[in-house]
Amino acid sequence: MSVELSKKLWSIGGGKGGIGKSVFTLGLGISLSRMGKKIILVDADLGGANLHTLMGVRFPPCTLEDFFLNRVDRLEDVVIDTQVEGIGLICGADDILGSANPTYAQKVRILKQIEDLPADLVLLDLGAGTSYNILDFFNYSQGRICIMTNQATSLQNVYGFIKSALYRRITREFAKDHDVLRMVHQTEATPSESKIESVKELLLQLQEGGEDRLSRFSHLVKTFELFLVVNMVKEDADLQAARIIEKVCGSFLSFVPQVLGHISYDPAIEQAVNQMVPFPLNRENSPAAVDIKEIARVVLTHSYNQADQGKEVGKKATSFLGALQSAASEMKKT
Amino acid sequence: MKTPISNVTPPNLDVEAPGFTPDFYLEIEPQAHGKLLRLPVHVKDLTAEGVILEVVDLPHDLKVESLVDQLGIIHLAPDGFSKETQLRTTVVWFRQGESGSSHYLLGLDLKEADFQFRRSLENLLARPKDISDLWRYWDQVKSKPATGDGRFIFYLGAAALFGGVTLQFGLPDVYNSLAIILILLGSLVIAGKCLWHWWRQRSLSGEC
Repeated sequence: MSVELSKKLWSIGGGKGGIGKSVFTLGLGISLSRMGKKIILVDADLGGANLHTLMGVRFPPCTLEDFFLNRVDRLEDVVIDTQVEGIGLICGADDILGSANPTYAQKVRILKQIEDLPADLVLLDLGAGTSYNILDFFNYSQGRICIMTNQATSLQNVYGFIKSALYRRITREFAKDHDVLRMVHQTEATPSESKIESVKELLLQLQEGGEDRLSRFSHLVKTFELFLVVNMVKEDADLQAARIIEKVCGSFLSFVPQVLGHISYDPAIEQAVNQMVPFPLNRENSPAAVDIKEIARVVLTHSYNQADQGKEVGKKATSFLGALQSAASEMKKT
Repeated sequence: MKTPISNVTPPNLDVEAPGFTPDFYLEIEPQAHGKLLRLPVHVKDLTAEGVILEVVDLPHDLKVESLVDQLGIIHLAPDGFSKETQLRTTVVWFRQGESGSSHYLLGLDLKEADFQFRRSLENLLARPKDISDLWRYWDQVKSKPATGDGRFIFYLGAAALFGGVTLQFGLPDVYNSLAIILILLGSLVIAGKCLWHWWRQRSLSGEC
């Protein structure tokens, strides 16, 4: 059996702003490039793009806006070279021409081309929040990383983000199945009205609706793989936040996210950001740099998979686009 | 320290609220007329150090301002979780509600409530179970003793053990008994600390 990189596209999300998504994306990209991989970073924080600033680029020559507004045909044409060997960057768009809210057609166009980018791995830096655009980019990726800190607000946001991503995936996959959609909406009702409070309960309800639907639903939840990274860790107790997310996801979402690793709190990061020097460039021995390097190793391990599974991922991506298209046509009808 | 609640109760002044099923009754210390005010209330929300209660039908002749700083007793029905069903507390603030002139929100202090009592109050809230669990685990993690204290106890045990061994081999036999006591004490402290750590970890993963 041949071995190839089956997870090419990785998204980094987490719901909350200011938890280090962009710094981590950059650090991960640099660490992976040091391992000999060709990386392209995509700043998908539409409306709040600043990955280029962290990379030391003050005035990006081209951005996603050029792609959205059809100034260029191919996504590849907006990749800019950076000071770090092996890393290309697609700068995010500002909100000036409405690029923060791409249309459905624009979204499909970018998703269709993103996997064809000339790189071993493509890392998507997502914005804060749980807007449909963010969730769709996240769900489309084969590798999904949620970054969090040990703050109560981050805990709340990251769980909300994971739950929204899973439920968005379900509603996309079952866009034409009104029974499933009704049940999913029941989970959003106020607790006194709601009878469904977990994916397990949803599954139980679906048992009455036929074997095919049930197995499709189970497969969808089973294959919803997600990784956690705890950032700004000052002591071991900070890692408990990830354990809480694991437990709550296990109980209510019927899947357990896997902890990829943690990043120690490191003042070197703030220095690098303010000096506009890509972290961890020139700071390879700092605690956070060492942690990110370790995470990069794990990411690479997960990126390699049997070729057969790679094909399966390809099928899933096609099915996701199909689901997006069918959902859009359903929306038009209603 | 919790203040014991007296079993001797003065005459009650029960506030009627037709069509309202209260979560429990809040008793306010005897008013000017010498009667204990029993207010039917809903748990509206829990804050870090308090609880917000909703009163739908506060008597018009009652000056709500007079309730602030008054002692009150929360009476919960036994739910099998909290051993305590009563808590003596204080009304900290009040606010007019949005559903009429007799609708009020009262803020009460919960500093003396233990984890179980808070949990019982939380169970009365209509909240999504997953978010409730998330915060429950969060409270458990935060209620753990600081790592620094744990390390201090461990180092204390290690110091006693090391001191005992040093005495045993480095000093005359007259110090033998002291050395044995120190070795035993140090070993017990370390073993106890390890057991405690193991139990806490197990308790967290088990509860989760």
